[in-house]
Amino acid sequence: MFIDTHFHLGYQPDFYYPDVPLKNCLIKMDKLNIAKCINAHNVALLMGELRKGMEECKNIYENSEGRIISYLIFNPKRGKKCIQIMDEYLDKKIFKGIKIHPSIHRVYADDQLYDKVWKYAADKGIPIMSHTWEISDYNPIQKFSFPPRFENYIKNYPNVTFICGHAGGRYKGILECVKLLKKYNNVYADVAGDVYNNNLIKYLVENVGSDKILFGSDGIWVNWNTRLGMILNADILMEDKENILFKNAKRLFEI
Amino acid sequence: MQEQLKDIIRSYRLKKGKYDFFDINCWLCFPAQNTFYPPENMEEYLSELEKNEIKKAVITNFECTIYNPLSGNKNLIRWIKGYKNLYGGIVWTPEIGFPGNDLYDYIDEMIKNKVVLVRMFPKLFKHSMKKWQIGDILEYMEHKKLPLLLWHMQTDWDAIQEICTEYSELPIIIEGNDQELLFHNRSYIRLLQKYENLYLETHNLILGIEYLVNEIGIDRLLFGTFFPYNDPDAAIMMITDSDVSEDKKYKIANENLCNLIKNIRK
Repeated sequence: MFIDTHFHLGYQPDFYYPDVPLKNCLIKMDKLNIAKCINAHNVALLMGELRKGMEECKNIYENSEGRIISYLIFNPKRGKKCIQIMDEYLDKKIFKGIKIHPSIHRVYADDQLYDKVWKYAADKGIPIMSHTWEISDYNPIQKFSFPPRFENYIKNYPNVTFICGHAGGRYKGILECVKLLKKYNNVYADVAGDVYNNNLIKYLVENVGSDKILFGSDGIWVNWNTRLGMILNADILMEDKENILFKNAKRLFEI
Repeated sequence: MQEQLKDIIRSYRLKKGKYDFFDINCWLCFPAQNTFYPPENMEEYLSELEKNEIKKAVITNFECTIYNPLSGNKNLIRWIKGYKNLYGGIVWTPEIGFPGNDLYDYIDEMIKNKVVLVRMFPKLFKHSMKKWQIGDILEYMEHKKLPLLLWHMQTDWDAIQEICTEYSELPIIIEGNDQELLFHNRSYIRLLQKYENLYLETHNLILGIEYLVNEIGIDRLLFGTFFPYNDPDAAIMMITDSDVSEDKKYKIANENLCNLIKNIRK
C-alpha cells in the first residue's frame, strides 16, 4: 500500500549498521504495509561505484520481485561518465528517478556541474530527488544542499519534477523548502529522515497541499515507524494521508 | 484502500493507549520557537500530551538554556506544582554551588518539589565535566540516586565513560537531540554493554530499539519525545510497533523511568 520514496540500501561509514538480509527487509515492509521502496544505493552514492551500484539495484529489483525500485545516481564530479552509465542502465521499470546529493559530493546545488543531469532528466522525463538541508553549524557540508540553491535549476527546467528530500531538514530549511513548493509547480518534498518537527505534516499540507508531499523514510537505518507515526496520526484529512503515503508517488514515478 | 488505511490508523491509535507513556524529554516554553503550531499555554500543552496518550512527563524549563538556569529552575517548580502527572528536570550550572549558595540544600529542596533529574549542558554553559568542577554535585546526586541527563552533542563519550566509572551508582541518561544518536552507536553500544548505570533516551535512536533490545540485550532505554519541538508520534510508533516483546515495550515506555524515580532518596 505505502510507497517509501526515499530509501537506502548498503552501508555508510558514519555508524555501525547491522546487516539486514533483503528477506528480513521485505518481511518488515509487509508488517508495516509498505508495498515499495525507491532506493538510492550507497555503493553508488558514497563509494562512487556507479556501475556496481546500478548492478546491485538490478539484483535487488529481481530478488524483491519488483518491490524495491531505485534511483540512478549522479555525481557532478564525474558528470560525463555518470550520464553514460545512466544511459546504459536506464530502464524505467527499475530506475524511477535520479538521486543527487550536493552535500556528499561537496558541490553546491546551483553549480553548473549539475546542468548535465537536469538536462538529462528533462530529456528522459524522469524526476530528480535531492538531499536538501538547513545550513548547520556542526555539519558544514549541509551548506551545499540549502534549498534556495536549487531555485535556478528548478526555474530553468520547469518540466523536470524535483523532489526536496527531507523537506529542507530543519526549521529554517523547511521554511525555505516551502517557499519553493509554493512558487513552482514542479517541486515536491518528502519527509524522510530525522525530521521530527511537531505538526510538520499538518503545516506542509496547509501551506502547499498534500499532493506535493511524499512519504519517505531515509531507511533502512531510519526506522520506518518514526515517519509513519507522524503521517498516520497527523491532523489532516484521510485523502491527504492517502496522497502522502502512496497516491503522489504512484503518479510521479508512474508506479 | 481508504478502509484499509482507516484500520491501520485505528490500530495505531489503540496501541498508543496501551503503554502509559512517561515522557522524560519535555520542555516548557510559551510559545516554543522554531516549531509549528506550538501550544500557547499550559492548558494547550497538557491537552496535547493527553491527546498523544502521554500520561506523565518530566519537564525542563527552556528558560534555563536561553536566559537563566536559576530563575528557570525556580519557575519550573512553580509551573509543575499543581499537576500530579508532571515532574521536573532542572538544569545545573556551577554557580549553584558557589559561595552563598548551599548546593545540598538546593538539591534537597528540588527533590521535595518533584524534581527527578538534573541536566547539564557543559558546552552551552562553558564548564568542565571533570571532577574538580562537577565532583561535588555528582557525588551528592549519586548519594541521592538522582539521575544525570546529558545531550550527546554537549559532551563527549570519553567524559561520559569517566562519569559512568567514577559514579557507578549514579543513573546517567544520554539524550540525542539534534544530531542523530545513531552516528555515535559505536560508542554508546560499547558503553551500554560495560556500564549498568547508563541509559539512553529513545526519541533520536532512529535505527529503532530492536537491535539494542533483541541483539545486544540492552533494555535500559527511556521513552522521550522532545515535545513540543518534536512530534510525539515519531517517538511513540517507534515503541508501539517495534519488534520487541510486550514487556520490553512497557519497560521502555514507562517502567524504567518509574523505577529510577522510585529509587530517588528523599
